[in-house]
Amino acid sequence: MTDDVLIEARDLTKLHHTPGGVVRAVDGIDLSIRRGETLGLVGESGCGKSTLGRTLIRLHEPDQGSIRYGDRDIAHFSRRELRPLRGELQMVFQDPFASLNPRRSIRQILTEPFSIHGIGNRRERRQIVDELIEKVGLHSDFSERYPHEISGGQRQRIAIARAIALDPSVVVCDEPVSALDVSVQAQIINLMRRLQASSGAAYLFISHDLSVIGYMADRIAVMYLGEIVEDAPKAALWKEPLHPYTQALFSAIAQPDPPSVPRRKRVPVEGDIPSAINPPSGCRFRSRCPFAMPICAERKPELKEPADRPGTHVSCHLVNSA
Amino acid sequence: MTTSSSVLSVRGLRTEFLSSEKTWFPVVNHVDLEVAPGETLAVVGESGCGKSMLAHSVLRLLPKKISRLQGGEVLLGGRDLTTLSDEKMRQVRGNDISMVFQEPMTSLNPLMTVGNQIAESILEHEDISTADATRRSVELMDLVGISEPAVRAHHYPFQLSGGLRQRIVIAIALACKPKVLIADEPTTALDVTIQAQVLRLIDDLKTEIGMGVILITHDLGVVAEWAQRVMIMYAGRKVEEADAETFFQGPAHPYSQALLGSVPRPDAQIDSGDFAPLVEIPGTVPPLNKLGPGCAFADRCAHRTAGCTQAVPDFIEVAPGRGVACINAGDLS
Amino acid sequence: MADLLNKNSVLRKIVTNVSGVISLVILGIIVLLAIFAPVLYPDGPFEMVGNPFMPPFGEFLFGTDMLGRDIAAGIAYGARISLLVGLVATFIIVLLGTVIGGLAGYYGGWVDTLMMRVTEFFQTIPTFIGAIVIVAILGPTLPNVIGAIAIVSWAPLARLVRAEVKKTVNLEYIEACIALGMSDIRILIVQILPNVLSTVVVAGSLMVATAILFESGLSFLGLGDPNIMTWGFMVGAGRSAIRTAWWMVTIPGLAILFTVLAINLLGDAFNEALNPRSKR
Repeated sequence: MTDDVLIEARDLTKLHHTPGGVVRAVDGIDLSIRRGETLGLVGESGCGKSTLGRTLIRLHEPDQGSIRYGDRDIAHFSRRELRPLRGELQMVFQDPFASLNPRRSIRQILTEPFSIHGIGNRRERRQIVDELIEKVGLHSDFSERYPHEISGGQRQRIAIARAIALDPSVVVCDEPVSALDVSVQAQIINLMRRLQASSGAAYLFISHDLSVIGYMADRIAVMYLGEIVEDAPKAALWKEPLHPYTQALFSAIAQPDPPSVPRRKRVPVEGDIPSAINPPSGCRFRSRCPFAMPICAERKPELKEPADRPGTHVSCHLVNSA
Repeated sequence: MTTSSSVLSVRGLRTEFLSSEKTWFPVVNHVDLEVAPGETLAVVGESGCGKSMLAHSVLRLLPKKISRLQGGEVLLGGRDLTTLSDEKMRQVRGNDISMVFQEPMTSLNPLMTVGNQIAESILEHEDISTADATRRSVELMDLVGISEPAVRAHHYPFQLSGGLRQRIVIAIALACKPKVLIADEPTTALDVTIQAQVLRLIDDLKTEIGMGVILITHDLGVVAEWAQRVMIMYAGRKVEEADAETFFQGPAHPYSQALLGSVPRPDAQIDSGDFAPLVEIPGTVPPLNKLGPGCAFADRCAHRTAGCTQAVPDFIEVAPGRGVACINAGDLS
Repeated sequence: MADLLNKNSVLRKIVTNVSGVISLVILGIIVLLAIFAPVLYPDGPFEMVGNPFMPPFGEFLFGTDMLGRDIAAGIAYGARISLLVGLVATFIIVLLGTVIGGLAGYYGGWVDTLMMRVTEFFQTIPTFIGAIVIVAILGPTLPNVIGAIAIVSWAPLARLVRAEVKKTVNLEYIEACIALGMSDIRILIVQILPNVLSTVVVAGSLMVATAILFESGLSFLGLGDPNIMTWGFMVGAGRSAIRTAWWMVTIPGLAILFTVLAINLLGDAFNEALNPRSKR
């Protein structure tokens, strides 16, 4: 690993205890993100991608594994130990309705990061907040309004402003545009890219929308039932996905091209995602995989780097035995 | 599109809502549309453009006190649905026109097995025995691609996944082989792989029983893949209409162009390596009760001219099923 | 913004609400009566000022009791006790309920389990009988009566607050605050409490009425502080003379009825004013 790796997780595991049993929401995941890099994380609902993002910046405490941030392992830091790091590890949430307290004005919301960490006096904070609002493309007049008085796109800009307030080095973006109108999505995507270019922050960009991921990410990790099944540079993954699940996922992208333009060949998957409480033995995807073999039920495939595809990691018996 | 081949024609439909200031404002404004049997018409727009209200107006499912139909006709099988009595309209719904909603959980009764819910909707419209209806409901579940339908018929909605639930909703909608199916964002709440399965299902059934489909969506990718014709709505009005090929080759209205341009297109970008910023449409969708005198899109339009704010542009039909509402459209293509 | 903090808008809503106005007028009269009791009746409620059993609307506004004490004076002094008991007991109930419910809802896990088991223990006590037992054991003094009412009444409020906090605590803006490093206390007070406050205000206002009823009931049974004149005591005392002097029971009874009714109406008005769905 080179030195500009900002954050690195090893064997990260997070369990959810539900009435029906224990869900291995994040199950032994390795990942790292470099300075200025965007790692796209895709997967279907319930695959654990949100939990992974929240655990990485320690909104959850992992049950197992390490999170190296800087030269420390923050996996089991106490809340007190985490506090000075909080401003550096930030998150943008999916729903800008839920992520802003309806009873607090924009100024109050954006002043919080600075008052928590004792930055500036009252007058200085006023000015910092004004600058922050302008940085995300809004007029500083917005500061006296309340979240319900502004549009969804504007709310998401405010949520982004709060996340970048303390100049974070790692930002987890959990479906930041999927609750927004199409015409507004582009504004927010451009804003996030612009901010990243100037700050050099590492993004973990979580989305179920492959087109958005394909545009935003440098590298893409594909998650299925708590595990990463494939992790590769974007162009490689886009052109030639190796894992059958990735193939299915990417062949399902609906591109707004004229109907006469040939489409990717559909890789069919059967049925629905199985229960996360009781996942299939061996390879978790085998119950839906069109290429399932006997070995897939017996042994869990490991995440390996194929010889001809440096930088790509895939966990599939079919690919790894070839 | 000729009228004789249409299964559903909507002409000059106008629906108004009551604002909090107690004034009426249009949410669907002079909309025409035609759907032929075996054809999918996509109605595309952002939230608040009136696309859902259009569907609800056609089915007359609008909230009574705060909305009213203010002109236009909805022709289905020679009848104007806007003039039917409430009782007659109830028979039309589910029988001749059905609707599939976005959120499958809220459109199913949580306390009734899914088999019974399908049977119920058959019994509502047909005079057959309960046993026959139950048998039909299992057949329908098989038709919409549910494995082990006889077992699953005894399940309650909460025991099924989102994809299966949406299939149940579709089964209910298809129970009486409607002539028209209106699908309002049927796959927005579903995962990508399931989304393709559900849209494939609607497409297959459409061909099989020869119904017309109105697919309401905001996802242009879905439109390109599954619709034969496209209608773009903005602020309650139809701003462009075309067949899918023409539309995706080159949309004519500046809003359609911007909408198409703002979608990330990784395929092309990965090939070229050029990840230039996406085309942004500045501003936000205007509230429908506060529209000015001109084109509703003028404020956000890159091609605005002086004439745009004078009057609402007419929808000019250049050929049957092909038209645009923009005074500058001729100069843009 | 219809916020509790913005008193103008909530007050305006209550004032424009019919039942709100009625309740404010009745409560205003009772409060004034309580405040000016010593001025109106400088001799106190226990002073025998006239003949026994004088009917109302004669020499004395509300008549006299079997010892010749002025019933109007008793009503005025009783108003002080009723309001005092209602407010102090409710204050303790709200404090206990909010703290316990808030902590249980916010922290969850074993804190929640422990606190909810304790809460359930208190909920299983039949409230009025529980209060009787406590006062009977500790002795009938005013602080004991207030304490007894608070102890048997806080549990439902704690459950209510816990449910509200649990609803709020899972929202993303709370996560955003944690991600910024905000302390638990600050999150609870600045972010969560304002969202729970409207529920507490509505439940608390109804709690005042319940506490007044409890106190009247205890006094009626002779478990009130013997040195204090209360409405419940007056009803209890007049019980034996109900055939000859109906006013001895009826007038303090009406005082209780109107006070409790007014507080309930005010609670409803609060509910309507604070309910976000009734906004605009």
